[in-house]
Parts: sequence; structure tokens; C-alpha cells
Amino acid sequence: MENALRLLRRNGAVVVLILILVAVSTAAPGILRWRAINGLLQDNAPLLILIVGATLPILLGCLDLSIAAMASLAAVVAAMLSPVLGSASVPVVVAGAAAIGGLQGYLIGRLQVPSFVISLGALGIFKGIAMYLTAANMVGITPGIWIYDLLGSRSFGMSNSFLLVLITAGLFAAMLRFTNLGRNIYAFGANEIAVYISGVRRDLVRSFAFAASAGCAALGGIMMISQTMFASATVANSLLLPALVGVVVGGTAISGGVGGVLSSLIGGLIAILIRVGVTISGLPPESQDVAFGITILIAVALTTDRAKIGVVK
Amino acid sequence: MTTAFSLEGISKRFGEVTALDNVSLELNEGEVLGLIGQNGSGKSTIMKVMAGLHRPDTGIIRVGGKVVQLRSPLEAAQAGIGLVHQEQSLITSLTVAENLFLDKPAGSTSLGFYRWANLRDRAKHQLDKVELDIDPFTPVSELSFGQRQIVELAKVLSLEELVHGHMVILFDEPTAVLNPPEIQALFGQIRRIKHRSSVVFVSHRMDEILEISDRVYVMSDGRNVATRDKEHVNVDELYELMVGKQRVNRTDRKPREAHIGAEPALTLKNVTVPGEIDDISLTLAPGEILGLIGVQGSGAETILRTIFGIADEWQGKIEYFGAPLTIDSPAEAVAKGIGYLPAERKTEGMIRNTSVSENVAITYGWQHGRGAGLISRGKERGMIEGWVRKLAIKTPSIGHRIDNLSGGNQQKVVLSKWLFGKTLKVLMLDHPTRGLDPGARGDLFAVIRELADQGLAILLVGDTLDEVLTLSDEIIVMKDGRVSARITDVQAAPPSEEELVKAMV
Amino acid sequence: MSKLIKSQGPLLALIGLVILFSVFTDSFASPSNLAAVLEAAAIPAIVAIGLTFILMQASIDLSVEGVASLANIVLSITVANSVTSTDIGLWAVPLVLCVGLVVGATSGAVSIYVRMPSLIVTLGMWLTTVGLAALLYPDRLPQILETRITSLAIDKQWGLSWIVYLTFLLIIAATLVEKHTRFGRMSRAIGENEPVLRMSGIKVNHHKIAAFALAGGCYALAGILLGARIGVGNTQSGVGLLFPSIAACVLGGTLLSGGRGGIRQSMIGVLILVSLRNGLIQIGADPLLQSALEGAVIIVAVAGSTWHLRRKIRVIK
Ligand SMILES: Nc1ncnc2c1ncn2[C@@H]1O[C@H](COP(=O)(O)OP(=O)(O)OP(=O)(O)O)[C@@H](O)[C@H]1O
Ligand SMILES: [Mg+2]
Repeated sequence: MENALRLLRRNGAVVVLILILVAVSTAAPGILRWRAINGLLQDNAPLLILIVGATLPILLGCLDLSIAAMASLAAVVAAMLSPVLGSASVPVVVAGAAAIGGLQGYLIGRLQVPSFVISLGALGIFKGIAMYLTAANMVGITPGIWIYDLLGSRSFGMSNSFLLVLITAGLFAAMLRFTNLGRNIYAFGANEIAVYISGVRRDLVRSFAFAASAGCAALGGIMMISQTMFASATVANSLLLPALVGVVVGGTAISGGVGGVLSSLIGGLIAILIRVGVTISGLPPESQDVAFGITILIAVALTTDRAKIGVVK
Repeated sequence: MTTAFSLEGISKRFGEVTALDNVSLELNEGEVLGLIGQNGSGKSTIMKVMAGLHRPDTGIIRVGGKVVQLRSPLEAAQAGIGLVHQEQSLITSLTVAENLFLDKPAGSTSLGFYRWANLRDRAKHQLDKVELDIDPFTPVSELSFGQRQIVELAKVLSLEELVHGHMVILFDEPTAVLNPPEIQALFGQIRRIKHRSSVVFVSHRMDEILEISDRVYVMSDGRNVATRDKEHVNVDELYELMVGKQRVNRTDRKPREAHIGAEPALTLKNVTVPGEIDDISLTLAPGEILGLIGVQGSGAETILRTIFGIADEWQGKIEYFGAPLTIDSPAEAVAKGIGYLPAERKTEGMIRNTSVSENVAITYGWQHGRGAGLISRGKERGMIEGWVRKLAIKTPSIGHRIDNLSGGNQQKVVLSKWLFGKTLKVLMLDHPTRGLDPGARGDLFAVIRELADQGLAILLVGDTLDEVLTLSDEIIVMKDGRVSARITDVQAAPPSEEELVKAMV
Repeated sequence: MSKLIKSQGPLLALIGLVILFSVFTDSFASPSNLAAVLEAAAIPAIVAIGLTFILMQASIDLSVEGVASLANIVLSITVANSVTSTDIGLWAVPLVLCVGLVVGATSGAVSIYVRMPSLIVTLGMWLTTVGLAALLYPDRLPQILETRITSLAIDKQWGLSWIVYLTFLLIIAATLVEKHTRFGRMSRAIGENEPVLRMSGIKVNHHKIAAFALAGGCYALAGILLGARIGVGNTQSGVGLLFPSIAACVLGGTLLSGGRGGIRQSMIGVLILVSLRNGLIQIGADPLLQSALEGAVIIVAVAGSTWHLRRKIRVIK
């Protein structure tokens, strides 16, 4: 029993994911078919990439509330630029978003305003700009642009968008594990001041984390339009909460210093599967939110390694 | 003499670590028991057991002969036991009065509302006892460090009014952060309360222990290895009991000529930090140890922090190997080869919730990596284990969480991060031996000397006179933000301790 | 002077904003518009009161919108209404407040005893209460027929509705609690240094649960007053309350890291935010850009009012 509990605590997210997978597939065997899974992953690729990106600020103990608004803004700008720049619109928009994210991170340190406030302000700013650019209308994207078609299609039977999520997550995970920057990110989350006094360039670390989260968010927005071929100023806005839920379910502590990108990815998959499970559970639609909320709470309770967090806030 | 308090066969384990191993202790009425032992020997743990902060795994506790369970600090307080913590434990956003009665059962409230007038009177009475003349409703955030320390003492002494019987007051390294006059004031208080209370007093300074205690209780590895009456023991014997080996004599430093004439590593010209230091000039050569000493608030630490780039504003000129030093952050200082060991270990030194090895490798780990920002944990491991051995850091493994080490061992881990690099040229140590036991202090002294001999320039803010006298080539005494005395060539012509104290206060 | 700026930054920002809008528009300073500002501020202020204690304790509560919507639905189906036949009269008010208290206390208790961060627990609670509201929602939109409720918003005394007066009362009571009770004093202390309080034998858990319960009660009250104002029970009625209220608290100087701020500061924050919204409309800013301007002002205001706290050695997060 003790061992089982320890196993759960160490690899909570994986165990929970398997449990849920088993539960869902017994309830509805059809769900395990490759096509269904692939469709699910494709639909949720934008959410998953947001989750991957959002993990980095959270590892610092910061919070980026602007990701969903950034995804919408990026979708709008990419759609507007696509007739002019074609495929190049994607790297341009992602790089621009990363730069803006980096600026956000820099401002947190420079102005010494908590990330919650800066990114809440940024959320408003991005939303306003996106509204203004579109005049609250839909923007279509020119069909036939190589990169959008690529993101919307499959290779090796897998959604390209989801493959991109995997690649990004893998790169970030390697960065966190094997580089000095990764070490600094975890340490920053554990004690910012001591890390600063140890000679770590904390502004740089913070800027990087926010640039990564904004860049991923932009990528998420672009994945969305590659599927729908339309952008609006609010396309991605509903993704903020699910993204934070995903990170947290994966076991990354909000207080910083504990967790990782791959755990978040698993957390995201858990949240998505819980959604699916609730939907096929036959519960009346009205009670699905309740079931989702409670299941998420239980999942988090199982996946957080509470030995690692001190004061619970 | 009657026994006021006793522990019988107390054991306490934290995971794999046995902090207390079948420890018994008797405390007579009106006696001061000096508690000594190496870092990690279990002193703080035994105090916490007595104060109701830790529950022992086995063993019994008796107060006045009766077996008691101390489930919380509150229950301990009701039994007349109070603890003055190793770290300050005041809440700065509350008033002095509220802090004084924070941990006491009977509060000045009715229906949840404070009765401020009543609280003020009671607080005033407590402050009078320790002769602190401040308004009880001053927020603690507005007090100076020294004042806070006295409030901390008053907080524990207010037990006097709350319990009728005998008291037990525990002090965990109270003098580590005090200057000599403050220490004497503290001893005065201890002698005053002796008639109705027993005292346990932890310190790493043998002279203090011998001055204030009636008996000395020596711990090693979670066990009591000896108990001695004050009359029948001397410093050397205590040292041997504690460390298990004979004390090595001061190996005197080489005379100063070695580093005269070399280009100075660091030159400060008229450096001023508004409100903290005023017009400070000094030079430091490679291979030299410059000791700064002064009472809390004298500005010695500020000098180090200004050089390191963490002062918010300053004027004057700092030169580093002949070129002006223009830095604005520790990162830039470190890039230039300057290191700083902060005095505030918990908040500025150690990275909590993280392993010993990550704490050591945070600054210079990348220098032992594969380049391009990639690190090599395998290569680091061997070197970190080397430092753990060399500094005799007591930890189960280098993957152990730093939070669970004893205070002194945490300090050694924080120090080793600066020794881990290849590019360090100037090392600034802010109260490096705070909380270190005599054995560890000796080890650290040897390391500091070795570093200086290898050509590192060392700027040191000392905890004790003995420390700066033993280590430094030159001593600067600080008072109210200014230099009040400068002693060059310390090793050739050592100044007397009186001379230094006079310049300090 | 500089000390005034340091300690009263948010208040000065508010005054500056009011002067600015009054100079640039004729309409802003008119009595009717100022009354409109107060009306708009009332419900966010009640929410902010509840949040303030939680934020002082360095926790956070995201369940605002769900609890307010749930309260609004429970109210609308238990008083005289156009859909269900239940009518327990004004007993509905204590009932709804109890629902809020229980939801809040549950969040607090789960966070403490299951050892999960409040952010996550209340996120789950948000989803759960939104779901509960949907579950309780009858087939059609319930009109609230109980006039003693709706008159709170409709009847005006000296140009202001009862909602505003009620809010004033609540602010006074909350200030008393904050300044003179053990709960209030300890709330700030918990935010500053929880471990020391625990060691001192303070019942930190009780104070935390109390703060969440109290906050839940405040959100429920907000839900009731929303019902009075819109006259119906709507599952979406609480939407839009959360971020402005938290932003208001932070604007006023109640930091998310805990240990600072208080009711007065949060109320100033609410007024800044509401005046800003109102003023931007009055000066005719492009409504599409509204949220962008608001966002920018939030950043600038917080940066400005905490500028004097800047230290190299400071945790920001
Ligand atoms: N909360 C804890 N969890 C795990 N181990 C602990 C904990 N507290 C103390 N220890 C371990 O127990 C042992 C005794 O620690 P303690 O703090 O009592 O030492 P100490 O004698 O006070 O040392 P110092 O002189 O350095 O303050 C140490 O090995 C320490 O690592
Ligand atoms: Mg100790």
C-alpha cells in the first residue's frame, strides 16, 4: 500500500492517465480507435501547445494569463498577413509573439509588477487590439498556403499539429533537463532571491519563460486557424482556463520549482480525456460541468507531490 | 536541588536521519544549562521537542515530576516552557503588543474584538521589564534589528505573568546575531529570571557557554556524550568532547609582504550609500584577507552588497583590477569574478526545496558542462561530493533536500557554490561562520586561508573579534557607516580586543 | 510630500483620474454620472471585500463568478418567480447566503486538509458551481417577482439605490473586522508569515476557512443583488466579476503575495477601475479598444503606485 502510494505520488500523472484511459475505453470502446484518438488530438493540439508553453512561467512561480488572448491575436494577425507573406506569416507571427512575451517578462522585473497583473493587463491589451484589427468580424485566411495546409493535415497517420506539439514539448523538456537555463528555471521557482544572488540573470530567465509561453500561444492560435480557416478576435479566448487546468493536473506546482513540460502534456491529456469521459458518461449535459470540476479536483489531488510543497496557499 | 524538567529516553527520526537517539536530560530549578555540539548534532531538535514543536518518537517528558505530552507550542507555553528561536520570528506587519502575546493562551479579546487599552497596558509592562522604551503599538516593521531581538526576548519573558509555577526558557543560538553589549544585556536578563526559571542556552561560542551556564551538556550525533559542571571544565576540554579531537592551534598567517606591491584587486574610493555608509575607501590585493567588523547596522555588510551590485543606489568609485567597476546586478559581478556569501542564509543563501547538489552547482555548474549551455550532472557530482567531504557537510547524500540539513551544514553548502568555479577572483563573505560549530569554523578558516594563499582576494565581515583577528591581514572597524579604525598588518602586530571593541561602540 | 505619494499612491491615482475625466468631459462629474459610478462599483466592491481577506492571507479564490451565478439562480427559484411554484419569501436570502458560506468553507477546507493550492481548488469550485447553477436552472428564465428584492435596485434614496447603501454598511463592517478582530489582524499576518503563526499556536486553518466562507457569503450577496438588478435568474449573471475584482484589489495595493493591503485599499481599487471604465466611455474612446486601454491603465497604475517599493532584493512573481 505504502509503495503503491509512493508510486502514485512520483508518477501520479501517468498513473491517472492510464486509469482514465482504461475507464473511458471500457465505457466506450470506440474511443480507442486510432481515428477517434487522432481526431481528438488534432482538435486539442492548440490547447496542448498552450499548456506546454504555460508551464514555463508557472515553473518560475509566475502566471501568464495572456496566453489565450495572445493565441487569438496571433490567429488574427496571421490570417491578415497570410495573403501578403504566405507561409512566412507563421514564423513572423510566432517570432513577434515571442518578442512581445519576452517584453512582458522583462517588464515584470523592470517595473516590479507581479506577473498576474502584467499578464492580466496584457490580456486586455491583446484582446483590444484583436478587436480593433478585425472590427469584431471574422477574418478568413487565403486557402492553399503550404504551411497552413501542412498543419491541418497528417503524416505517418498522425495529425501534424499534434506532432508539432510533441516536438516542442520534447525540445523544452530537454532544455529543462540538460541546460543551465533549465536548471536556473527550477531554482528560480524555488527561491528567486537566492538565485539572483547566486549570479543568475533573472531578467533573462523570466523573459525566456514568457517568450516561450507567448510563442507557444501564437502557435496554438495558428493551429486553430489552420483547422477552421477563419480567425476572430476571440477564437482562442476560452482556452485560458483549460490550459491552466492542464498544467496543474500534470502536477506542476503553482508556487513554482516543481513539475515539467511532459507532466503538463500528460495533464492536458488527462483533462481532455476527462472531458470526453464526462461527455460519453450519459450524464445530462447540465451536470457535466459539475462532474468535470470534481474529477479535475480529484485528479489534481492524486497527481501533486505534496511532499515538495511547503506552505499551501 | 529539585528537578524542574526532564527528558527520558527521547528519540526522534526524520526519515533516514536519526536526529535524537535515546537522549535524557535533567534540568534543575534555577539552573542555566549550556548546550553545545557540532552542527547537526541535534541541539535545535531537542529544543523543539521541549517546546512542543516536534513530537518525539519515543521517550517521556516530565515537568515538575509529572509526565506531560507537549502537543503544540501552546501546550508548552501553558506548562511554562518558552523558546527563543534561532531565527527571528516576529510578524512585521503586526504591532509590538500583538507580537508579544501572539503565542499566549489568554488574549485581550472579547467576542473576537481586541481590547486595545488592555493589550497596551499588558504590553507596556513587558517592555518595561526589558527596558525597551517604545510605543507598544509600533509596527514591528519600524523597529531596528536590535530592538526586534529585545522584543523577541520580551515575548518569551511574558510567560512570567502567565504561568504560576516554574518556567523553562530555551534559547537557540541567541547570541549569533548580537554584538558584545547586547550579549551582556541578554545575560543580565537570564540572570534576572534565574530565581524562578531554568534556562537552556545553545551557543557555538565556548567563552559564552562558560560565562553563563552552571552545567554544560554536550551532544554529538544525536546523543549526549558528556555533562560537566562549569567549575570542572575548560574550553579545551569542551572542544575535545564536542569534536572528538584536540583543538589545533592557530596557524598564523604568513606576514603581509606576500601581497604588497601587487595590483589591487578592488579599490573603493569615497563610496557612499545614503543612510547606510558614508565615504568609505579601501583597497584589497589578491591573496589578501581584509576583515571588516562592526555592530549590527554599522554598514559593514552594505559595503559588500554595494560591490556586488545589489545596493539600490550609491555614489563614489569602485575599481576592479585598475578599471572602473560598473555593475548593476550580481550576475555582472559574478561574470567579472566576484562572489558573495550572504548573511541571510534562509532567504538569500539557500535555494529551498532543492537538493544540495543543485545548490552547489547553481552558479558555476555550467563551467563544468559540455559547453553551449549544456550541463553535465555526472561530472558535477564527483566534484560536489569532493566539497562535501572537504567541508565535512553532514548530509545523507548530495541529492538530499537542503531544507533538512542543520543550520550550520546549510551554510557550508551555500559557501561551496562559490568554491565550485574556476573564475573567482574576489570572494566576499558576510558573517560566514554564523551558526557554525567550532570544528566547522576551524575547517572553514583553513579553507579561507588556502583560498587566499592561492591568490583569491577575500573581503570578510566577521562575526566575532576572534575571527577577524585570526584570519585578516588588515582590519577595518566600522561604526555608524564610517570607518572608525584601521589596523594594517594584523598578523605582525595584532591589536588588542579592547582596542577593537572601543572603536566599534 | 514624497511620503504621501508613497503611502497613498492608489488614492492619488484615483483622484488624478477623476480630475482628468472631469476636465476633459462635462458629463463625468455630473451628479447623475457619479451616482452611476457608485452603482456600478457596488457589486464589485462586495466581491472585493470577500477577496481582500483571502488575498491578505496569500491565498486566491477564483470561484467568484460561479458562486455568484449559483446564488442568483437559487434566489430566483426560491422566491416568488415566474417559473417554479416555490416561494419561501425573504427566507431565500439567508438560504442563499448559507449556500455561499458553505461553498466557500468547502473550498477552504479542501485546500487545507487535502493540501492543494487554493488556486486549483477554487478553479475546480468555479467549474462545479457553474455546473450546479446550470443544473438548478429551470426550463425557462425565471423572473423574480418578489418586489422586496427587486426594489433594492429600483427604489432610490437621494439618487442612490439600496444596493449602494448596503455596500457602504458592509464596507464599514468589514473595516471593523479587519482592524479590530483577531481574525482580521491574523489574516494579514498569515499572508506575511504563516509558519511562525502555526508555531505560535494560532489556529491558522480556522482563520483560512473563515476567510473563504466569508468570501463565499460576499459572492452570494453579490449574486442576490445582481438578481435584484436584472430581475431574473441567469446562469451567466456572475460572469465578468472575477478578474475586475482581483484587479481592483491589486490596483489598490492588496498584493497577491499576501500580508499587505486591506479593505480601504481594495475599495480604492474598485473605484479606480469603475471610474476608468465610465470615463473612457464619456471621453468617447473607441469601444473596440476599451479593453486594451483598461489593460494598459492597470499595468501603469500598479507600476506607478508600487514604484517606491522597488528593490533589487524583492520577490515579484
Ligand atoms: N525537519 C527535518 N527534516 C529532516 N531532517 C531534519 C529536520 N530537522 C533536522 N533534521 C536533521 O536532524 C539533525 C539534527 O539537526 P538539528 O537542527 O537539531 O542540529 P543542530 O545541532 O541544531 O545544528 P546547528 O548547530 O547546525 O544548528 C540534522 O542531521 C538535520 O539534518
Ligand atoms: Mg540548530
